[in-house]
Amino acid sequence: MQATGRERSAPRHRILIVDDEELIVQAMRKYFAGLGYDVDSAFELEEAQALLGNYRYDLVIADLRLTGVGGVEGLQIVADVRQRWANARVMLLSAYGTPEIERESYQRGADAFLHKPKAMMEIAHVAVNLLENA
Amino acid sequence: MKEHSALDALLAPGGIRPLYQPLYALTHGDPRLFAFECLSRGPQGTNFEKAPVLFEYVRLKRQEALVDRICIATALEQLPVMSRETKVCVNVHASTLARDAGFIDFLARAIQKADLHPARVIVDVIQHAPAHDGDGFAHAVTRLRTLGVAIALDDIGVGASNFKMLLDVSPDYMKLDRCIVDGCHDDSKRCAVIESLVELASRLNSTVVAEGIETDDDLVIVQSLGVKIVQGFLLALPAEGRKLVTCPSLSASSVA
Repeated sequence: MQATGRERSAPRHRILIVDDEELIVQAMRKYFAGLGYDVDSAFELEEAQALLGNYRYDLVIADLRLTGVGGVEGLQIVADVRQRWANARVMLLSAYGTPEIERESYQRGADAFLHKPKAMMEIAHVAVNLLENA
Repeated sequence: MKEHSALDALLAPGGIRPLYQPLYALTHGDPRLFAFECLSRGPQGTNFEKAPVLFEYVRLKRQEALVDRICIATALEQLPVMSRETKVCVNVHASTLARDAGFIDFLARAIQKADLHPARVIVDVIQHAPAHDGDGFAHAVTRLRTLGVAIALDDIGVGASNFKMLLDVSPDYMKLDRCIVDGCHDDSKRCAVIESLVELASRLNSTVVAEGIETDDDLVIVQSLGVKIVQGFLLALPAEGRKLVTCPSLSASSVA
């Protein structure tokens, strides 16, 4: 997939990707690193929280569900990001997002909520917009 | 979904890698090797290579006690070759001391297995949150004294390592956090804090250890302020035990 010229010129922001699907994490890491971002990743809530406690991120992209059926750990990540970094952007992804969950995500401070499946380019487009308007 | 959490990988054999960083005494002439601090890192290529991330994750998982045991057992199994005068520092969370009733017995066995005399061991208490079980913590401190190890209080000046902890623990060593030490050579406020803590340590029969020495200027200043033991990247980087070549004096010691 080709990155747009706008994406190629992106500054070196730092992104954290949180998802329990290893293949998704690998794909997103590779894609965003290719766009010139510094990318870290975590597979579970506590790993993400440990990173957020030690590093500053410009954007956090997190899956809503990290522990199987019924999980909404992404909401906790949104709250953690908001508590630590007022200017950081946070985007939730979910294949199970109900209108209620989506509304709660925004109430907690999410900047974007995307319903899976989404093409990587669509996710990147939203991410770049969030970073440029931070 | 990943079948195993990162915690499984950390708890598996080889999941924790021990590193050792020398501490030097400034008492006479050139700095002389005083002790090795046992440090721990997670698997290479993971977020847990960085100790702050590793231990914050472990605390969030509430597995400090188990991981403390693994870190100590692994570190004492792979100690570098050293003289019998050199001390060994091991780290333990205050919460482990408070809640893990079997920890002191475990430590005694690990020390014996490593063929160390307890007087050569310094238990470095790290305190990121109140221990909650004050009685359990106090009992553990008493048992450490009975075992014959020395006690250090880590990260003095930040977080929960406060004056109450000094009173509760009566540490033999007070380790000043690097955020106080770093840059002290041109910061009169940092110098005032260090000088005051050296004076306080003296009155409490304790000894100050300055962590985070990264420049010659800072080393000269902390020595002039009365600090007797130092540690930091200027003096030696943490290294694997088998890669450490140690000699009594700093000028002759090296990391291969």
